[in-house]
Amino acid sequence: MKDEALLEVTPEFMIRAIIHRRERLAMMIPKQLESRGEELLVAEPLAKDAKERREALQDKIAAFDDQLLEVKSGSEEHQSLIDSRESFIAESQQAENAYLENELFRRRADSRTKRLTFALNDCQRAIEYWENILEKGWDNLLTDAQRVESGGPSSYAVKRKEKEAKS
Amino acid sequence: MTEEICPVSGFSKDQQERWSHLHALLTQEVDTLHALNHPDLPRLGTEIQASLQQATMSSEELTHRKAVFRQLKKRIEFEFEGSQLHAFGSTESGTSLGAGDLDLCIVVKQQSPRRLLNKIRNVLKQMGMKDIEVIGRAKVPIVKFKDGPSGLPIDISVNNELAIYNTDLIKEYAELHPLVKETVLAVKHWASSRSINEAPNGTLSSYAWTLIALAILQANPNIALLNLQENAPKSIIQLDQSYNVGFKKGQTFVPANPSMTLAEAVLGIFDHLANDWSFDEGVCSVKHGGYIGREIKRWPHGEPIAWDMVPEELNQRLGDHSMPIEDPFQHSHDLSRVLRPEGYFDIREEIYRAQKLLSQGLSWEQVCEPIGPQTTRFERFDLFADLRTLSMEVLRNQMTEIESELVKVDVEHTEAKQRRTELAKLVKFGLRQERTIPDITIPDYVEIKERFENSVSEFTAMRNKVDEINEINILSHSRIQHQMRTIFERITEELDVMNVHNLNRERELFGSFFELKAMQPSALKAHQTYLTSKQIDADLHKEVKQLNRMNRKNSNSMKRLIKRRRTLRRERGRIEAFIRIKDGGSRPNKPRAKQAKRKSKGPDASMVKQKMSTGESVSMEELNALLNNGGLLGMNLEKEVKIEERSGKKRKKRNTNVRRGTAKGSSRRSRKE
Repeated sequence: MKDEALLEVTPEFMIRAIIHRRERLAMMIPKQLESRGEELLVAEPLAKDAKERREALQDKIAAFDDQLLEVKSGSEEHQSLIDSRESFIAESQQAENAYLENELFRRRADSRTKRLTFALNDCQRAIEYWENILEKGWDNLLTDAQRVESGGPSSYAVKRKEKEAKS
Repeated sequence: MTEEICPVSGFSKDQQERWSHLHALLTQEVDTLHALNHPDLPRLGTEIQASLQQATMSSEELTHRKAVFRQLKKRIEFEFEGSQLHAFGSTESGTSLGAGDLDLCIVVKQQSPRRLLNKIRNVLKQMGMKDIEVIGRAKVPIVKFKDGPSGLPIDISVNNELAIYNTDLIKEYAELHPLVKETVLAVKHWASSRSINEAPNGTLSSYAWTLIALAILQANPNIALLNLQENAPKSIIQLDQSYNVGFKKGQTFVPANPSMTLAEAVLGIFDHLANDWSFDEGVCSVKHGGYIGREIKRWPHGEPIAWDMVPEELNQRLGDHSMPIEDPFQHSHDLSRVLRPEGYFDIREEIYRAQKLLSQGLSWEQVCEPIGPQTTRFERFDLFADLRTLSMEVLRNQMTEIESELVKVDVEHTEAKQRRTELAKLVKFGLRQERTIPDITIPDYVEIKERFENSVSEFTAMRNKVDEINEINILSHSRIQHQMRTIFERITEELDVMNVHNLNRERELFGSFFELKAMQPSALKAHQTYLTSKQIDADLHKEVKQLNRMNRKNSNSMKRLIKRRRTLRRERGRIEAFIRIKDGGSRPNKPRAKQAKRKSKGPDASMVKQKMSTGESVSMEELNALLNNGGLLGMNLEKEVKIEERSGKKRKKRNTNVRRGTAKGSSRRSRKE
């Protein structure tokens, strides 16, 4: 938009533009929310399974550790226990990685869902608010502009004076 | 080429001709030197006297030199506060030949010599001196110039105080006995005629020849000139280092052989130079009464020696102390350090030539036959030459014309000065360095002033308006536009659904946008006002530039007027003086125009009082200063009165001072009442 055109913008026009954008957002968000919800439905069981598998493997390793204490070191049994424990440890590491990946996926899906929910609520509130403004008046939105129009200092000047007074 | 080189002297054929006497002596073509005798001593004496009379300075020349010195001293000491201009050298010591220049030395504290010399150059320029040249990079920086009317060459050096003491010493020696002065002059005349007194050309300086003559007179048993520095009271001065410049003054001296004549003394000098001058082993030293061994002085013969440099390396530097001559006060200074190989051989050649001619009984004129370009004596200057043929009536008419022209020049100068002042005021006002409206009287400038006044007030009003708006808005016109654009884009742009402004932020941006929109008209107005004021400022600067150009022209015309006025005043003074001389009268009974003179504060009265209380002697000037301050008693009383005034308790003493005392019993307060 050109600078001259900007000067032609009225508050009503601006509010309508805002409402228009908010309405478009409000239309877009439910679709997004739906797909994020589906994502969450997939992510949650995956994360749960991965967590359970990781915990089970960790328990098994702990049991091997107890057995190793009881068996004489250097014996064949001791050696086979160590070998088995090491294979479990490798398996446990894989399970850990799978868990972390699934958990990250779940969290992201959860966060997006929450954010979209919040945005949807905010859009609905904003549409209500701006429509209300259009119907009932400007509230205190144009206080600074009115002060400036009547020859008073701008909010920048007021802030500067306050800063100077503080210092 | 090699065939022509003498195997004994090492001289080439040209050099054998140039230094023929020296060459003949070395190759034993002449007999070994023997004591010098002259067949007709009375004639030689008369010839020397006659040549000295012709060569030395006439009383007129001396008077002229003194007048030039006085004029320079007055002006330079006025221009450079606290400075003193001294004359030194042969003119001052009385051993000058007429052709010598006038050596002056300015003694001043805390000045860079080169900068000072540049300032002196400007002063000399104003005084009408000619051919001014500053030699700032020399060991002793000097400014060389010539007196305007007479062409007398003058040198001014800076803080060359030792030269002043040297001059005093030479003067004291010259005044000991006429024989001393005349012998020194004869030697200098010979050296000057034969061009071996030019230090810049690689021979010895005139001052060095004076010292040589004095040292030989000291060493000559028939004369036995006094050594004025022997057992003399010490007088230490602090310059770059400490120097003992003490010597005996007011001594009486009679030559050891009282019947010694000038001719015999001069012959003695040449005899000594040719036969006994042992500069290979000794150092010529007036301080030590003639000579001192090189070992004692620790001045060994430095390499290369002159003989090693013939025939083809004569342009190289000569080793140190090749013909050592000690300065009487600056004992580390060897005056022969300026010697070059050619100069060394020239000197020796001339000595043997003079010895030969004198022993053959040739005239002193032949001995001193001029060689090379001789220093021309400055022409006697007749200040009134052009006036002498004019009648009194013509002269008076000329005076009247000059007077009327002077009045005209004065008026023009005053006008130009007024123009300069008013132009300067206008420029300051135009540049707004001066806020008050200038008081202009010249009609041409009144219009400019009015124009300036309007422009300046308009400009000030505009800038005040801009400042006022800026104080309210803070943001500039362009900044506001930029901010509005940014906000509008933020509010209306297609956003990612995941990145939406919350409602509060949206409200803030909305408010800001319309505040900025409200600010925009005033900001735009401020911007336009600023641009207009800038144009006014540019116009003012343009006009100021023109005024400066006018001022420069005016300054140039002022300079011309000042120069013209100076010339006219000089001319008026010259004609006045000539008329006065012609009338045979004394100075007219009118007070001389007061010359601006920086009055010295004079001696401090309290210091004088302190001096008197310690019993020290005081000068008339100091006594005058004391009396002007109420005398000894007056000063005491004044102090006491101050003390009483401070305390307010003590009884006031009666003022008994002659100058301030009043009737008995009257107090200071009653007098005031």
